[in-house]
Amino acid sequence: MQDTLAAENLLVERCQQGDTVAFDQLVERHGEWVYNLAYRMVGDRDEAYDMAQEAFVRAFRAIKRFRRGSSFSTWLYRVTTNACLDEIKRRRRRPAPASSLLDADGLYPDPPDPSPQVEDHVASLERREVVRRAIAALPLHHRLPLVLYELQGCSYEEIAAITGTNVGTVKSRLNRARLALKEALEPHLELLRSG
Amino acid sequence: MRCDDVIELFSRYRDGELAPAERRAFEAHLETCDRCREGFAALESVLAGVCDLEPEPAPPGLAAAVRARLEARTDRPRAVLLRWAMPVAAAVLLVLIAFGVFQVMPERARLAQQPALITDRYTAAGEGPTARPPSKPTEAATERGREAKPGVRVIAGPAAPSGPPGAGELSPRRAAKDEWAGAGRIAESGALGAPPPSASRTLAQKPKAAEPTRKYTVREGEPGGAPSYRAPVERPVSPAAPRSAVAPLAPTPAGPGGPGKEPASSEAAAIRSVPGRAVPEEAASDMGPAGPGRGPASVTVTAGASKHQLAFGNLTLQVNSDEAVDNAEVLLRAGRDKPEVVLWQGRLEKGPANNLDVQLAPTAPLNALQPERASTQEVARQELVIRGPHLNSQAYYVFAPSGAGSRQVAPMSRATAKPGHGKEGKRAGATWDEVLQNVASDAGVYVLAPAGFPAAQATNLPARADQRAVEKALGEMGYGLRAERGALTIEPAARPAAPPGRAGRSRR
Repeated sequence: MQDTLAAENLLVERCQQGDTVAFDQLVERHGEWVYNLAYRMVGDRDEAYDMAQEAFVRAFRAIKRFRRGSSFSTWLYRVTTNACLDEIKRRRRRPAPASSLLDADGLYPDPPDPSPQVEDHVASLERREVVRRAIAALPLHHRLPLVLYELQGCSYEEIAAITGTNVGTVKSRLNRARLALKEALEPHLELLRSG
Repeated sequence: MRCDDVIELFSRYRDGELAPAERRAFEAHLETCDRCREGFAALESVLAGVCDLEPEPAPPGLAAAVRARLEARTDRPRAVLLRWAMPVAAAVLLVLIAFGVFQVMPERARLAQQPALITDRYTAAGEGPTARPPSKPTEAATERGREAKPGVRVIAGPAAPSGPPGAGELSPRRAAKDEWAGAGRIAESGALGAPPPSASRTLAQKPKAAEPTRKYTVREGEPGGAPSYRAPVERPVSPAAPRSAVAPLAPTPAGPGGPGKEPASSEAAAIRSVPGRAVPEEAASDMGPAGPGRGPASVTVTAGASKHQLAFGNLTLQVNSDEAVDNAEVLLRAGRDKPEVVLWQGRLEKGPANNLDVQLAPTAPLNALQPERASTQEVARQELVIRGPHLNSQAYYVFAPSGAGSRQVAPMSRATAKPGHGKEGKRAGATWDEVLQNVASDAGVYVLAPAGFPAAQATNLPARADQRAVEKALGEMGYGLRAERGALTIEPAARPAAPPGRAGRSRR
């Protein structure tokens, strides 16, 4: 763990001196992490990929301002969060056209005579989709702490640092988010428990 | 402890955040209160379901994409300059107006400056009476009246000769788009010959009755080859002009070259075809093929892959038509909302009957189109349009290039949803017919064929999208059909084909 941190600090240091190869390595390290946060925030894979790129571009430009000694991942999360929030705000100002493929509000035709394996697979996909939608329906200030805590494994303190709030606020918002999620997903409890 | 207080503590109890006394009170309440106990159990189940979500694998090539974006942005100092220059200029202008600078300036002085200005323009243009400054004010005025306009036009820059009036006033962004749609781009991408004058007609302009629709089925190409498309025997009629009808495209000038001939790397392909209402064969024959005098027909192919996939994979499309292909125009366009942006263009002059090969290598135009902030969403809606006098068909395809899973297949948009159907209604009760009806209204049904799908046998699939018939035909080939969220996936059957009687059931 210490080695990993030391290696990361070294990479950050090299980035701050303009080493793009080191930055590539940081992207490799944190790419999935950042992409997943973006995906949970914007709810669309293509958009998330776009946001992940945007987050890293911003990070690269601002890396000289990153203070050594603090957690790079927390800082990167904050950059990612801001990129996503900016994008969400931009999208609200200019809504996507009706034909946009952004929303996966498609049809759910009955699987024709599904085999048990296919049924399992479909149930798994459906479970993921139901949860994804419930998370996406949360207001942003609830969604962010929930995603960071439940899915990204951040601590209260890290979430407070990322969102620029205090730990008490994080706890309160997390509680609200969980209760809202429970309300949204209670009708699907059977589906959730089948997993 | 009241129920409301307990509910407020759910989250903190779960995280072990309660003080011992609080925790004991909480637990004591749960033992006596069924509602709170069930509520807490529900929360546990919900959060367990959330935690079980596997992380999404990041798309490959993220580092390269980031680097490309960084490099693209370093070339944009002018954009930043412009962003600031415009408001600053506007502010300065306002200040000048406010202080009445223009009014103070003597009228004569302003007039005297104008001939000199025009002379400067001529000088810059390299033509006109640059060596002969006007000797008298009257001469200057005459000169201005006669030649000032051409001088100004030259100064305005190399506008397209056939461009609309005021082309020079386009915003930089619009101008960039026009550049893509214009002659320079096409010549670079290798168009052959100009399209027939009628090629700019739209699908919507065509009379519905004269719109027999040929349906293509998808099959995998030869090993290492390309997916190919073959016209079936039946000739259904398109139910209605689709919303996504091809927008008119400006006739394009000739250019050398042709489509790139790079090998295809697609391993899976998806087809979105238009299931139509069948008409008697003789009625279809009466309509006849669309000849040059009747206007062209179009085949619209939607490349549904995201940008990075398309950028690294080349696609080969083969359309087998039952009529000879003659002078078909092939366009890869950037989405329906940007029909003027042509990413790639080619021409298929004369092909043998039943054979039309298009090879696409959209890498360079795609990368060049969106050097910065490339929205994969936008590129995901590219359309490939094949126009030709004998291609009286329309179909919509979604490509899933090499290595793509079903998640790359574009989902149905909200626009395809039938009125009166809520999400839950659709999820629980949509029948096959409803699905087809909905999908047909927007273009077709997504079918994702697996990599090993037998090419030759695919053409035996029934032309109309009838669930039982399709399933039966697939079952005979050892394949099954999975319907999920509007996408139909052909996959190897895990067990022998089911009796057709069960296949058509609906839970409604």
